[in-house]
Amino acid sequence: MKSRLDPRTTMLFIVLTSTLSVLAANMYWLLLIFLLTLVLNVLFGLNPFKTLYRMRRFLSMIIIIAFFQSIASSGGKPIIRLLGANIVTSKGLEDSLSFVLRMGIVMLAVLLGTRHDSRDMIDGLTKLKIPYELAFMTGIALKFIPLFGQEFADRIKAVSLRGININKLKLPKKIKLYSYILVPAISGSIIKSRDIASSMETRGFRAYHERTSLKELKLKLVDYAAMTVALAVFILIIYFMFARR
Amino acid sequence: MIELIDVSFAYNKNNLVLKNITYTFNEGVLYVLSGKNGSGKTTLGKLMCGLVKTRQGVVKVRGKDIYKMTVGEISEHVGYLYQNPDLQLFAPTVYEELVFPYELNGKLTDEIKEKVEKLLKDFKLDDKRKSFPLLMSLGERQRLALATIMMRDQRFIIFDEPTASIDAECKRMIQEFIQAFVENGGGALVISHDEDFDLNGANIKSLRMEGGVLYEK
Ligand SMILES: Nc1ncnc2c1ncn2[C@@H]1O[C@H](COP(=O)(O)OP(=O)(O)OP(=O)(O)O)[C@@H](O)[C@H]1O
Ligand SMILES: [Mg+2]
Repeated sequence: MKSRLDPRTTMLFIVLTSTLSVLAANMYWLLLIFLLTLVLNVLFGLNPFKTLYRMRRFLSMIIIIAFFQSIASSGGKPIIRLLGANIVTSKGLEDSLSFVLRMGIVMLAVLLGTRHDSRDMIDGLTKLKIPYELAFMTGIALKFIPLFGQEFADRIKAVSLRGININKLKLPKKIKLYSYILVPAISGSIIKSRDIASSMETRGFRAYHERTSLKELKLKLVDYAAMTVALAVFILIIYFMFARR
Repeated sequence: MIELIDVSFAYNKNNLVLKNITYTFNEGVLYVLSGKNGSGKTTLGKLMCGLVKTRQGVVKVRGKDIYKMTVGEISEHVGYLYQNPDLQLFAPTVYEELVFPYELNGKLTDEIKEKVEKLLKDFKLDDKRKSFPLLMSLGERQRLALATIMMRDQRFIIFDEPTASIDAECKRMIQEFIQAFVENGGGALVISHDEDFDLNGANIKSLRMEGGVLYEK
């Protein structure tokens, strides 16, 4: 089932939640925003837990990064002390949890966009006076997100086929393995997108300036309502986040 | 030995890709599987090494139901060459591509290193050992992917279109390689569109996939 909302409304949701995740000053606000984004996912008919489960390898990688971040930062009360040095401090732990939550929010927010046909999404973006080329790229990117997840899963399987048991590796080797999985995936998509860009050019992508589309996008009452609620919640959160300073 | 017992498979409910397949693949035999695009050849191959799983029917590797086994465990016995070589290339250089699993597992012995050298020569990748795999030509990538599979001593290997984008000379080399593997007692399922293999050999069986059903020719 596709979302009944206008793609522009969804975009507003994505922009607002990601903005909040950047502005949020501490873990508790981040947790709240994370929960809100989860609820949005459910309202959009997505199953966020299934998604998070599917992305578990990716998430565990983020958690590993966060772990190192927490070792690197100092300050706050010590939680684990080893040989007279503070290994993990309360501040380090908070920093790394915040990082994980932030990544989670952005991931869940972007997922909302996958509920729309990429064509509608492109149309919606151009209505916002975003250049068609840019809108087109965003549309393509949204289409590729589920594929990227699939590819990531395939690569993990391909690694097991080589006789490597990820769960049995020690941390430094695990990190090396993750770099083996991520780097080609990323460089692969860069190579791929370069090919898409040049193939679009050979097909005369920039030839026409005015585009007409078959389906007219129109904001409906439900869109205005959703946008109003979203903006109200956004302003409320911002207000409480900064008012207490 | 890989046994399929009344196996059906669907990616989406109600849309069976494989229908009630019962077949036994033995070692020491080369199976060549052909069939139209989308007929389910790749799916069958993935099912035989646990990359996809089904509860409709049983897949057994050396007598053991693989439903509860991990891909890693199954891969001790069954190897799989992806139709798309890029999915199985990871390392920054050709050489590392061949050694990294052993490095990670802490088993990089002299014996392994010798094997790497031999495979580099066999697959004509000797002068490419420092190249970045993903930027090599498709044929080179396919040869490298094949070499990574041959690093392990699996008894049965599934090759999904191993010669699809390879020139005539290399094609012949890969065919000979697979045939030698079978003559040495290994089992192979080669998914192939072109009639490249001499199908009259003693230990060759020709199979055809049509509408999700497997036929022996
Ligand atoms: N991951 C997937 N999700 C959903 N459907 C799939 C998936 N993979 C394959 N299919 C579908 O299953 C059917 C069989 O696909 P399969 O890849 O096994 O065919 P094939 O015989 O290998 O084709 P080809 O000769 O093109 O490689 C096709 O209709 C395909 O669209
Ligand atoms: Mg196929």
